[in-house]
Amino acid sequence: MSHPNSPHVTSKYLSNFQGKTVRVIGKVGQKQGTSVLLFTTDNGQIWVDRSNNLQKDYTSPIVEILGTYQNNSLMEIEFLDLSENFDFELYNQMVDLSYQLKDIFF
Amino acid sequence: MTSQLTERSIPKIFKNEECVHPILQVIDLEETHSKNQDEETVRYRLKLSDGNFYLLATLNRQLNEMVINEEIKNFTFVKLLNYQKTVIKNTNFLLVSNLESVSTQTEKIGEPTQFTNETQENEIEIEKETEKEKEKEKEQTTFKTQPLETGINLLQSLNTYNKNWKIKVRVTNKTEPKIYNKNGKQGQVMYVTLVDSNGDEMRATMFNDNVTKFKKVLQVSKCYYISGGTLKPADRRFSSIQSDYEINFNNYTTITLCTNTSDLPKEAYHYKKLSEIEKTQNGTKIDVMGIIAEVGELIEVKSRTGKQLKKRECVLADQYLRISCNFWGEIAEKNTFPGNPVIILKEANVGEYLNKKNISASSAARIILEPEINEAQEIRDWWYRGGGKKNQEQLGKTIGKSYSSNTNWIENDRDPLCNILNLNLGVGEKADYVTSKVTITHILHDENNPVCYPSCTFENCTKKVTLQGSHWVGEKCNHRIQKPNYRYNPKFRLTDSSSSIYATAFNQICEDILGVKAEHVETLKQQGRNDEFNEIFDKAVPLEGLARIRVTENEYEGKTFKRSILSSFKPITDYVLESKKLIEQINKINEN
Repeated sequence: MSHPNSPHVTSKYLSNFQGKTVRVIGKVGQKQGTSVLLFTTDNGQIWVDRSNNLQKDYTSPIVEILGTYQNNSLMEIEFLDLSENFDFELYNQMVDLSYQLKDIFF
Repeated sequence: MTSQLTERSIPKIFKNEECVHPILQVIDLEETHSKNQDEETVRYRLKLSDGNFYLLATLNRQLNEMVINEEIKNFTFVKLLNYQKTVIKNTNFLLVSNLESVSTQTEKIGEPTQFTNETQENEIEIEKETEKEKEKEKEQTTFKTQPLETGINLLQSLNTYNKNWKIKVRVTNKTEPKIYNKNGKQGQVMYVTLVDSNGDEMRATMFNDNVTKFKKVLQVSKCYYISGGTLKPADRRFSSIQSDYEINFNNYTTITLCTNTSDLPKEAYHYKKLSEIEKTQNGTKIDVMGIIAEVGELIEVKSRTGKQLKKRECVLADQYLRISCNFWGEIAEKNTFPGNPVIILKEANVGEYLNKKNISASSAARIILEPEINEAQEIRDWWYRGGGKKNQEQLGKTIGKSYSSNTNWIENDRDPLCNILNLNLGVGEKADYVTSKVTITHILHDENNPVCYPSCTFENCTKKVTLQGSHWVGEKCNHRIQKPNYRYNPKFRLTDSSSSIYATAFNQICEDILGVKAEHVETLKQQGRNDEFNEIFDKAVPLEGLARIRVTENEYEGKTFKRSILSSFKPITDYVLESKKLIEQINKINEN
């Protein structure tokens, strides 16, 4: 994935990244047209606009989305299928820590 | 070759101080015409500069020719041969009657300013400052290395470069000669503590013949001139003395009794407060002062080796803290501490038991009863005012961690390798175990480090056997066998972000990691197939995993060191667990 500056975020941090490219990990929810609802690890949800990346389908229930956050939705650029055993709690803690320790991560 | 302008010549000239033929630079040379009774006289005015300051000058008319034929022009370096200073209208002028040209120059040197009375005053200030600085420097370099008696060096000044030293010291402590075993030979060692006229202490050691030579000569509280001996860095594990070096008295050492002892202190009253014990590393030595608040009975305790040891448990206290203070052996027998004396306890061992710090004193320790210093009197006064009766904080510290054997060791907190030394693990009767996430970075397999040993083949016996005639015999098990098994025992180098250690690994772990049995490796070695042999060890590393390390402390040649054994090793497979552990550790740091 060729977007080195896209940090991992959960729903509560998204507002800080208007117009920016981010990575969000979550559980795939319902579809609505070209959009998919993603449930994030901090019990939030975000609509993912898949119009630019429709040729591939998610094969795993848990995915990582690389996308641009604008107008309250994530415009998907690429996605990555993750294992079903992905540990949500752990990932959530890690994202929170990376915010506390901004100097190291960003 | 350009001549340099004579430094500070302008100020000197100004102050009428001697200044012989200074070399100055001509600046702002100008022609002036003055009419005097129908005669027009041309005179040359100029500024003469030493690079920092200048003075206004006028050339005597007989020197005019030098200007006309350009021997003297702007920027020329000139040598003043004869001049006179005058003051006209409060301005200083130099009337130059003789000078010679030294060299022509193309530019002004420096940015000289006119030297006036004001400049002179400022100059005096600057001069005074530089004088003060020089004095200070001199003081600092000679302070503390200047001996009080000629020809005597202070202990502070001793180092490994200067061999010709002579010290004048009082012996404040002397240990009994101690016998030790090294490589089957017996030796003896003795330690003394010395104090010099500056109040500094230093330890001295002597071995074997030198013990015999000096043990009658050196007496506690007597003074000596000593020269000759080698210096080596002090080992803080064996001494609380705050000196960088220790002296070894050898065959070149001469010791003579000294009677002129008025400049040597009776004692070195160095000590730390009880509060310092908390942050002192276990296993190191410390000097402390306190009052014996409680004295226990003399009891007998059985040691790990079966010896009967005498012990007296006491409590040492000061105005702020109480601490368990245990005396052992002779020092316990001899001291009953009647009447709650204030003592300075020197060379006590810092330890920990059940998460509480304590100190213990054995034969190496020394007691100064009722030291004659103010701080001791303060403790005494506090005690008599009833200080000891109030509840005081008992020195304690909860680590909250156990280092004992544990089958569920993977769940333990991870310790960084540096904790083995920092927490002084392995000193107790039982071995300590740590769980660490490490990388095996190297497995020693060169000629000096055999990776396996021939082992006994009797059931359940894995002891080393040696070839004796046509049979192999166990050194410790005494079994006789025809042909030995081979079992691994190489040293692994374990590294993490904090430190690196060597740990010995045994058969099962090595078979798992290397993938081949020790027999195979031994065969390769005996057949000289070195490339294949080396490859087995080189391609196994680096390997990251969780290590269970067993730590004990051993003694060798009088020094103690940590011995680590890799009792288990699991390459990391459960990343979720490891990540959880990491987050726990990070959170702990954040809390603090």
